[in-house]
Amino acid sequence: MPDHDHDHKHDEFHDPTESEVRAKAVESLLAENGLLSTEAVDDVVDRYENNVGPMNGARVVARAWTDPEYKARLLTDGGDAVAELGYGDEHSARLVVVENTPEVHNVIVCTLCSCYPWSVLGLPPEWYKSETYRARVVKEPRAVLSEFGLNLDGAIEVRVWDSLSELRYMVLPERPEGTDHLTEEELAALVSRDAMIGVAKAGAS
Amino acid sequence: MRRVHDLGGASGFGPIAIEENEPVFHEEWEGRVFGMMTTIGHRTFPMRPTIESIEPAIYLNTTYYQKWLIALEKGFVQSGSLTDKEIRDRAEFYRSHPGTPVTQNNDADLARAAWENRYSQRSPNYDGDPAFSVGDSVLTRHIDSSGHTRIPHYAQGKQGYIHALRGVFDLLDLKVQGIRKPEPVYTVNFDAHELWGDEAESPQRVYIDLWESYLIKPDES
Repeated sequence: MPDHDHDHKHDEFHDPTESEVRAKAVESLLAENGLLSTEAVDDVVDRYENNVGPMNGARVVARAWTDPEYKARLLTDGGDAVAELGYGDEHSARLVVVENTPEVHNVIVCTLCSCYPWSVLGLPPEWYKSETYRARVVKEPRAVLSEFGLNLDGAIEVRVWDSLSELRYMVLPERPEGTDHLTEEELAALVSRDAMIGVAKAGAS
Repeated sequence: MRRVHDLGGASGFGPIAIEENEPVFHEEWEGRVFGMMTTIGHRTFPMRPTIESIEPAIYLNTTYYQKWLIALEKGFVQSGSLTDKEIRDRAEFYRSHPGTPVTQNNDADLARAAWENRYSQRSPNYDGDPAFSVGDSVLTRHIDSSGHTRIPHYAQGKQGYIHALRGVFDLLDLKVQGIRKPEPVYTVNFDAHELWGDEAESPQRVYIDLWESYLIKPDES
């Protein structure tokens, strides 16, 4: 048990929430019992706050838009293809990439929990993990997409991928019109996290 | 019967709450909980079944990382690593001593183990033949969901088509009990009308990865 007495400094600190004190309790006890490396926790937090995120997936998409052979490999074996760009890890090995076309729009969900392609998109946003999104998007995807500002033509087939096994899914969005002159790096800047989940189009910020 | 985490198709939910420029973690403790779960939590207890065992009223009234925190406490108490009382007492200490840092542990072996692969890989030891081929019509079984399963309630007892064979993976229903049963996993595609009837939006299809034992041939029904 830490023995520092900080009572006299109480006013300098915000009121801790119940979750905050319980998380501290669990972490301290596990560290003291020799079960947890707090340094490893620091590293994990740093990794997902700073090094792994949708910028990875955006580079994958931009490469696919500019290199047809890479795109073919990406759609055949997503894990190998993202590893080529340096994003291979234990998560990406089972990555499936699904392609949007003028006729088909794909969107990703995990109705049972929060499965998400961490290696290319980082950790999911709050709404992706919400009970609301999980309940609704499999049944009324068009209504959900319209809440994100994406109104699809009635003829387009919507494909919802409910990722419930050990596989992970990512959407390859359509390349926006009028972008032929852009470099791969400029193209990557057009690719949002939401476009790779399938609740937005690329280039529609 | 449907369990609370099995949300696909549930009615009554309002609009999606979308936050612009959302941080990876909203509070520092969320990052610590994420790190604890992904380094040692998942190796000590089955994470998903533990989250799914949270009581429905609590499940629906807690945030994502609050559920993970509840699961961490439950999991480490059930594994015998911690007791409810010591967690409560230490939490009380931090409540009354808000500036006190958590205990550090910089053991290098523990840190290395934290990054070891935790995922099921395609199983190399399966020598059976897949029962289904791409394009086959299949029916899904009704699965007892009192345990852990990866077939959602909305897709049980439905007809779909094999879209792809994804490889062989341990059936997670049994793996969480410590039993290994490698099986082919298929992506099955369902027409929205089959799942939702007249309420379906159209044209729409739903693609779900399903283990072979969730599936039967239509003429066996």
